[in-house]
Amino acid sequence: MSAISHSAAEGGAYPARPAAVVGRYLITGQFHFLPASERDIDRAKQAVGRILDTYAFARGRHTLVISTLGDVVQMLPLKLAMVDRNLIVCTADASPYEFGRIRSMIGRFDIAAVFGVTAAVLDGLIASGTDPAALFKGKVVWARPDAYARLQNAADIELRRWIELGPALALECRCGDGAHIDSLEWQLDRADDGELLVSSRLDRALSFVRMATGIRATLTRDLCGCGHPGPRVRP
Amino acid sequence: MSVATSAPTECVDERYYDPWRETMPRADIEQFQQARLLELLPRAYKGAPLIRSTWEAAGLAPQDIRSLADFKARAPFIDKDHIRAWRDAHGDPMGGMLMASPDELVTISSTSGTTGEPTPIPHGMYTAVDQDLMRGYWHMGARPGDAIVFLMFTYRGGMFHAHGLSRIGLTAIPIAHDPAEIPRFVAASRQFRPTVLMMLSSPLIIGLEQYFEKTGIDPLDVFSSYKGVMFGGEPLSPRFAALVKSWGLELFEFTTLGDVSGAVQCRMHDGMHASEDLALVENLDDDGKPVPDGQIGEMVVTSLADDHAPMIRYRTEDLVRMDHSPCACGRTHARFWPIGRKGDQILVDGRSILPRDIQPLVEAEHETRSCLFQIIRPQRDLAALRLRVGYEPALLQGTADGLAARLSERLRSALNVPVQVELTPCDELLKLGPPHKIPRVTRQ
Ligand SMILES: [Zn+2]
Repeated sequence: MSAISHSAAEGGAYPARPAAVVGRYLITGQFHFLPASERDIDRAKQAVGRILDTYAFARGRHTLVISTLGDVVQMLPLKLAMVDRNLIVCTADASPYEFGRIRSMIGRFDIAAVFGVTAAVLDGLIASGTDPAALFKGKVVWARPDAYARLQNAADIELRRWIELGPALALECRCGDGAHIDSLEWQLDRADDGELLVSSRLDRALSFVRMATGIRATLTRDLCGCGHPGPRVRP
Repeated sequence: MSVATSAPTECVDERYYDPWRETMPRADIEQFQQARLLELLPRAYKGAPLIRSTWEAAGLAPQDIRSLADFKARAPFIDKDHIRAWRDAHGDPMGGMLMASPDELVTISSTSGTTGEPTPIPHGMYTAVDQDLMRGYWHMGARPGDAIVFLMFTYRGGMFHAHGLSRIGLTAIPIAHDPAEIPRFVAASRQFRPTVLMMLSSPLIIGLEQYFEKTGIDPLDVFSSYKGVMFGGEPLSPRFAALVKSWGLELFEFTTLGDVSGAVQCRMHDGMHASEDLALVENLDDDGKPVPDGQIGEMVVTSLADDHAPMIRYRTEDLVRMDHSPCACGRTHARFWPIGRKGDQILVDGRSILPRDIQPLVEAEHETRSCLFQIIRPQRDLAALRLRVGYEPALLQGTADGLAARLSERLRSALNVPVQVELTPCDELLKLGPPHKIPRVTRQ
């Protein structure tokens, strides 16, 4: 059988790591399935909640999450953390064809933060005659690396990094000084050539041992201004 | 390798996810609907400004409604134009439909927006659609421990749905509803051997056909574990039905009740099952009078399981036939057969034509097998049927003019109206809409 369930041979007790959902992770653009258990999702929710809490978004504010369904292991914990904080989650697909929905959601609701912006989304907005810098003005925007580079010079956007290190998600907090990784969940090592290696520290639906992420970055281990001690990633 | 389980106890009917609800006698369904309605109406009247204003204009208050019969005789209608007008007049993105306080809202999804600006749909973590789908998955054969591939759009709120499945022991594998994701869908099918898929659409079937032709991968092997596959988005065409059957899949058509709840076929494949405990479904004529079973009318729905923005007597513009007799599958709720959208209907020489009449004729020609077409409809009454049809240049067996002539003749003789066909390569036609989906009816 697959990685999603265990099978029992005879009566008795067995270690079980059933998956709640199966998402994906990427290594240098290559797709791999990423099963995650309910506990994996719950711990990820706590971790992303700590990043959210470096902001003071008021209850009842709206946010916009831009993703595809395959991003479930990265995005579901974020959405659940926002539900806990009474933030209202608007959704759009991470696709160049979603410019209409993204514009419409931002036009209709008082969106405080936008998560998961991709270069393809920016391309779609621009092709439809919308300037992303103007659209996202005044908002906190967590952008994936390809979009981050392009929004870096936009004034009036509070731009934050959204970096996936294989299965591990690193997000910048309010300080914007390197992306936090959940150090309870993941151990990061740096190979001699600077490539980051990721290991899972807890019992997960799928475990990782020094998995090469394909990402070269520096690691900072000093205390962040937000108070969180774990390592931060700077590309 | 499988865990031995004891036989189900006699009192549990494992055919149904929710046996009590799904097999209620008609009188009990109506009693349940009445109880829900009487709870709902005062809250909707108090909370949702458009409902209050509509009822006030009709000179009606919730306390005037004491029974289901009262409701059906007296409750005023709303439609999408009312909601839009309220939205524009009051700057209210929810169109006056939000009953709950913003504190109770979890998420805002939206309609596809294929033919206009997407309409926001506010809700909690789970919706009536989620409940209805669960009954469908179970009926198709999904059981705790199984994997389900969930091929959908995130703007529909699919991530919470996927998470909800895990709470009853199913493992969801969510993948974007996009032909570009087909290799992942195929890989997931082989690796996790899911029992249910939600859902295929015409664009994905076209994509899969091309994928299997190109790679030589055997669809029978890829799909060997599936006990059922939902299909939705538009009517299932005869060619796609046969094609998917040849892959070893059993399709269950899925549609929505005006976005208030879902509806899925059962194994009898004789109509869509409405869950009447989740939504009150009426089939009415233009004057709001009930249409007898078997005859065509407009579906009008009322949410019975929406605590956030319930629709109250919403005219869906969907033309349907209904049947309230129990189904051979054992369920007692009404079944219906979608005929088409009111707004998609055209009259050529006084003859009514809907996209589903054209579908089997277009796909019968090899070059236009993808069944991509648009009805050009500047107004409802036309002297001739004008169609823009996508063809695959690589499949062309003669000239494009020859194909146009062949197709026109096929359409003319079957529909018995004058026909004008305008051919466009499929790739070009697809640029007119969101990816892999074009509006079936266009003004120009
Ligand atoms: Zn049935």
